[in-house]
Amino acid sequence: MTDSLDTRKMAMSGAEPLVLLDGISHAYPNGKVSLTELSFAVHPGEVVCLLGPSGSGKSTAIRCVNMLEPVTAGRLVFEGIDVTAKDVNQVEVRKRVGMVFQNFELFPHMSVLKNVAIGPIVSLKRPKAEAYDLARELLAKVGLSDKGDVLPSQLSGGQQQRVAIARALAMQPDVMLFDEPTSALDPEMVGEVLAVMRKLAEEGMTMVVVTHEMRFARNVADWVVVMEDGRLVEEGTPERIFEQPRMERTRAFFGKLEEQDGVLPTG
Amino acid sequence: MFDVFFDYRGLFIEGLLVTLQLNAIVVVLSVAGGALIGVARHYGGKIVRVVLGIPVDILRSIPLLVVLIWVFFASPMVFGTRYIDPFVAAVIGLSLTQGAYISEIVRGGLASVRSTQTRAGLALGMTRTQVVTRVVAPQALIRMLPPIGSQVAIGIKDSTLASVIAVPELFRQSQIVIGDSMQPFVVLTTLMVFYFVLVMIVVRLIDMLYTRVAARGAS
Ligand SMILES: Nc1ncnc2c1ncn2[C@@H]1O[C@H](COP(=O)(O)OP(=O)(O)OP(=O)(O)O)[C@@H](O)[C@H]1O
Ligand SMILES: [Mg+2]
Repeated sequence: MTDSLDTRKMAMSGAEPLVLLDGISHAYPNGKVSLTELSFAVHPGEVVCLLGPSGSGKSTAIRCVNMLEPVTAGRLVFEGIDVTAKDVNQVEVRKRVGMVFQNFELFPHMSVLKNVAIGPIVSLKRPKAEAYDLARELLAKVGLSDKGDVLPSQLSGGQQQRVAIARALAMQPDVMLFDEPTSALDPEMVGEVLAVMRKLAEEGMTMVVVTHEMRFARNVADWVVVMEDGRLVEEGTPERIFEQPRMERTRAFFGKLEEQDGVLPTG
Repeated sequence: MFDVFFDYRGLFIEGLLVTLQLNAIVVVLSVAGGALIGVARHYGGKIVRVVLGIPVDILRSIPLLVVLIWVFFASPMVFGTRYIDPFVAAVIGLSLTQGAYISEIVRGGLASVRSTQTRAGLALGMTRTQVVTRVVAPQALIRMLPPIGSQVAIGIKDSTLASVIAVPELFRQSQIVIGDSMQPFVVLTTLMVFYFVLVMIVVRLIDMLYTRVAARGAS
């Protein structure tokens, strides 16, 4: 591929992938096959967006990355280590991977500050004072320094999702996974969450983002992976994917999105 | 009119103490046992769930009166003894039955915390045990408070059934007094007021506790 649109900056620098899905397959206990030989790489500092229609396996793929779902075949390589090997401690891997959920999943019985501090306190056995200091710092970073003492249920959806991002960041992860972080939000709150994510990306955080926000994918992603039916349809830079989609199924997917809300970003 | 309470004070005081003691012991045993069984059935996998479900279902379907009489008259034969103390029999019968119901409340409470909360805990690098103690159990506990309160109230009322195996609890002592004094109206009415007050105190205390933490159970 000599196409200039298709150069992948991080890969070109010769860096090893931080996360490598190497032909992974996955099936749910009820037998439903959700991923078939899916492969893609995430390099350090890269933002990779996963796109695809509902049911294409995006959530499953992202959950496989932090081993919340067990892969049935293929290799998952994290920081150069094959973590699908039997003797790998999944808990240790998850400590290095942050995750943000569609429905926030804040812990309703804890204050906002404690939500952010709980990971370091429980998983990393950090001293409480240190964990709370970091939590306050991170709440300030997501613009919620005055909300530490309230319960999550007293916050708006956008605020809850920003807390959830702070909670994941508190583990000081090497990579952050986002599964449709704005899909459960009222339209007026989408912007504040995307702004925080954009800031993270600019700071060089490695991110894997499942999203239907095409403008975000277009402007922030370094690499876009299009999935359908548990398989990779195509991958490339956002410029290339959005401007010159090669596969009919990608075009069909974009066409449907456009029909729905007319928001396919160009240029 | 209320002379009867003074005249038979020895019987009433014994009855009051036995009723309070019996219920205190039954609450502790049934909540502890119910919690153990409920947790085991929720987290123990299919075999544990099914095996422990058998005694739970049996106890929930047999009338408490029959359980009490069986424990008192029949169980000594099973264990090769001739006699079991009525108070001990009442503790066993009531705790088993109450524990069975409470185990179902505990199981339902744990199941009511959606699995995505577990995922969120795991994603933060917690172990399964940490997820249970830090994330799932506190939320489940809040939701369990009101139904456990109701079940404890039922247990207190049902403790009067222990009178049939001659446990000298308040209802049994009252019947003795009535037989002797021929004053059913004042004794039984006072007894009703007593149970009303006792149950209301317990229910209101649990309600107050729940109101304080309810916001933390919202999700
Ligand atoms: N717990 C489950 N048990 C069985 N099948 C499941 C389960 N979760 C998802 N699936 C199925 O697996 C496939 C992939 O699901 P997944 O949630 O990964 O898709 P998705 O791309 O994230 O979709 P969406 O955009 O709707 O979130 C779908 O066909 C879905 O129905
Ligand atoms: Mg999904």
